[in-house]
Parts: sequence; structure tokens; C-alpha cells
Amino acid sequence: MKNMDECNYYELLEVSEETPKSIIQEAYHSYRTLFDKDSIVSYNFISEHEREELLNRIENAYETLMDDQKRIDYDKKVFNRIGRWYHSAAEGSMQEKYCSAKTHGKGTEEVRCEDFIEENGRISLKKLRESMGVTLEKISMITKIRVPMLLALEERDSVKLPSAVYVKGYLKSYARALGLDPEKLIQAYGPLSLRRS
Amino acid sequence: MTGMPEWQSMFKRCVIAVGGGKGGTGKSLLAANLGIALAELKQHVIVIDLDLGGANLHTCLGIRYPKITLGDFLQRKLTSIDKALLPSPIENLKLINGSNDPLEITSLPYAQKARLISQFKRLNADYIILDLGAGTSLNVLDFFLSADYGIVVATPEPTAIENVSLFIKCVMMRHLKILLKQLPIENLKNRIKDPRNLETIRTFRDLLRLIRSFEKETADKIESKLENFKLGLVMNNIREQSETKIGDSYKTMIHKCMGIPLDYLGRIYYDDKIPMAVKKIRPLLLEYPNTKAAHAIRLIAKRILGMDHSPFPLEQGNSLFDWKKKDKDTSPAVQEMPMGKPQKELPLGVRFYI
Repeated sequence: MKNMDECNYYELLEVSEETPKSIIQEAYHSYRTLFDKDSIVSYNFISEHEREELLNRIENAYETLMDDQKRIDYDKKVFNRIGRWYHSAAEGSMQEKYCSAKTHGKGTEEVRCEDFIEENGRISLKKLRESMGVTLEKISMITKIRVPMLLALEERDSVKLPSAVYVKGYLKSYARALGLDPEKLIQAYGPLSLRRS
Repeated sequence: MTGMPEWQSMFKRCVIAVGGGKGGTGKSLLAANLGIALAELKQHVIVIDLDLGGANLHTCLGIRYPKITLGDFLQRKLTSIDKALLPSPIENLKLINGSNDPLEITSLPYAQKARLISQFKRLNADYIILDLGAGTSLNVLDFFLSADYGIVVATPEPTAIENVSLFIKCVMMRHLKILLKQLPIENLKNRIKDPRNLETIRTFRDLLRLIRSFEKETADKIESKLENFKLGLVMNNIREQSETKIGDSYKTMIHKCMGIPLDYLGRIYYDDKIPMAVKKIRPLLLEYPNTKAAHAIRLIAKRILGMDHSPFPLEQGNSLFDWKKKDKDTSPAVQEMPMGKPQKELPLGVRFYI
């Protein structure tokens, strides 16, 4: 067990060098609250001076690990190489990949919401998605919306869908994951939910 | 009975101390009801009231006028501690009542303390639960450290947390001092008193770092022994949802700041029935067996039983106070010990230090 002031930033926040930013953020928040001066857990456990030092270090760790360039520099300093997060982030950033689907995905032709509007005047999300060659699982990974919910969204299953305000949010994420304009997609989707909020 | 074969009683003599700084956090309540919960699981349990000068464990167990007390043993009216065992309303559970003559017993001399510890460690039971008093006096710390497993009880209030933190610090400091007697380091005192070091040594981790700087091997040994210290936390009197996270955070903090693994054994929600049971002078688990609090205590008991599968408590090689074992092994008290099968695995004798 190392002393807190000997830990590197990863050890301090108890994350690994592969950890993505979202988890680092969570870890930062939990340690921030743990050592906050109003926290009853660490109350009188550490001296005021130690607390300040610790919070400073946590703050520095967070700033460094959340900034790509700073993190690369820090990794080089500590491990003499770039941490594995960099490569997994490059592979895993499907969001970026599919955002660009609009411009160079599917050859040169641009995907337009209007092309998938069916006879009833509403867009078929399923056809739109399949035309871009994206599976539900991938969208789920990007948007963090569960697959059954995405399925309900595509099928307009009013029983499974939550109230309109949530559906709107889901549609926005869905559109962003595919690199489409959220407003246009929401408009094309038609009535958001039959359920009253 | 499905759970029977696995949890058969085998007199494993596991000593559990219930302590933790502040008074009124529910130490006696937990000790009594944990004893009942373990007895319900077919374990032979002895609860000992070591709250010297403030004994009330018998009341928590529903025994109003105990006839024999620990005081009789300490004043040598009784030859051995098993004569002080009192039956309780619960099968498999026995009580050693605390003394109620405060002046004589609160300041227990060392020899008395050593005799007491060596005797209760030899009682025939699966679990010997020590109910300790509040505060961080040497007696409390030594009783706590003589156990195989220590439970600290806290409530989600700054005062209780503060006292539990202090208690854990005191226990660790005492532990470290004992270890330093086993593994003496030359010139340690002078080095600590060195004005260059005086400013930087504030906590016990600082002290460890200082030791590490000149005696790396000893520091490694000490650290591994400190990490073997088994400590559990119970959060009592939880009223709000937001307070449920405190236990987990506390565990993280202790691990991070002191390097000690702390088990979060469980949390007990506040229940109107708890003070009602106390007023009726009846144990909670018998009077209100189906309350949330009662279930929480049963869960804690099962967790403690489940620990048997890990090295604790049968492999006690790393336990505290072992260093005196060699000297004491020849003492007649130890030779008297029956060498049955379960005892073989356990270190015998007085494991106490001066």
C-alpha cells in the first residue's frame, strides 16, 4: 500500500491507464466528495493541511487525465509510453466514426432523413439505420440506451416507451450516433409518445 | 436443517470484539443480538461484557439480576472463567456478565488483564463475542487487539465517525507498537526524536515510511502484519437513503489513508422497535424477530460465518501477540490444555505483551 502522496494520478483515483473519461469523471466525483471539507466520512480523519493537499492532487489528477494532450504527456512521463487508453479510444470512438457516416460513409451519397419517410408520413428508423449498416448494438454502445428500448423506439411501441420528453432525448442521441441532425429526425419521427406525461 | 453440516459447531474459538469509540452507537445491542443470531445458526456462543464499569450487556439479553459477575473472577472468588458462565434464554448462548462494582474493575491491572484474556481465549465455544466499552483507553484497545476479528460500530453522525476514526487510529498505533516490540528496531526513538524528522512524522504511515527508509525488510514485515489485521464496520442507526453510502465511503477512505482493508459488514436501519425492545428488557431478535434491523443483524452473522472459509480464523499464524508464545508455552496453564483436534490448528497460550 503506497502513501497517498506517492501515488501517481491513476493510483490516486484508482483507475487504470485504459479507463475512459466517463469513469474517470465518476471516480473524481466520488473522491472529491469523500475528501470535501463538508464530508462527514473524512471528518477529522485528516488534518486541514492534508485535506487541502489531497484535494489539490485530486484536482490536478482530474485535469491531467481528462485532457488528451496532458494525459499523453503524463503517460510518457510515468510509463515512458502512451497509455493504452489512447488506442482503445481511437478504435472505440464509434461516435466519431458514425458522425462522419454522413459525409463519407456509404460512398459519396448523403443519408437524408426525408428518404426514409414512409406512406404514413413517418420515418422508418430501422430502414434508415440499416441503410447505414449500423446494428442496434452499436447504437446502444454509443448512446448507452438499452437495446430493447431502441427496438421500442424503432417500432414506436407506446407501451414500452416512456413519456415524450424522454423519447425526444433518445431520438437526439440516436440521431447523433448516426451523425444526423437531431431536429430533423425528431420532426420526421412524428408524434413522440402516446403516453401522457 | 439444510445449513447444518456446513456450519457445524466445532469449537473454533473465534474471538470477536465489538468496539468503536463513541458511546451509545449500539455496541452492546449488536454484541447481544449478534450472539443470538449466531446461536440461532447452531453455533455455540459466549458473550462477554468487557465494558468495565458500565456493564449492561445482560440487560440487552433480557437477564435482569445476574448473580455471578466478572468481578468474582477478577477477585479470584472463582478459579476459572468458565465458572462465571451464565445461561441465557437462548439455547447455545451463554453470558459472562460484567462487574457492577465499578471502582475496583475500571482500572484493571496488567496481570488481571492478561489472566482474563488468556482465560477467555480458552473457553469452549465457536464464537466468543467481547462487548467493549466506549473510549480508547488501553484496556479497551488491548481487548480489541486480543480478538481474532474486530468490529467497529458507528452511526452516520460526525461525532460517531470522528470517534471511530480515532479508535481505529489508536488501535493501529497500539498494534504498531506491539509489532515494534516483536521486531525491535535500533535507535528508532532517537530517529523519531531527530528534529529533522519531527515535523514530518504525524501519522502512523509517516512512521512506517521512516522505518522503511532505514529498515526495509522489517518495514515490509510490519506492513504485511498490519494488513492482516481483520477489521469490520457496522453502520447503525441509518435513517435516510443518503446515509447508506457512508459505510462504503468510509471503507474506501480507511483503505486509502491507512492501507487497512476494512470489511463493511452491514448497516442497520433505525427502527422504532429497537428502543421498544430495550425498554421491555428483551433482546431485539427475540421480541421483534421480523424487523428490518433484526434481519440486518442476521445478515451480519451470516457474513461472519461465511468468513470461516477464508484463512480467518483457523489460520492465525499472523495473529497478534504471537511473539510471547514461546516464552509462555512452558507455563502450566498452557500444558493443561487438552489437545483435541480443533485446537491443534490454533495457537495456544497467552498471547499478550507487556
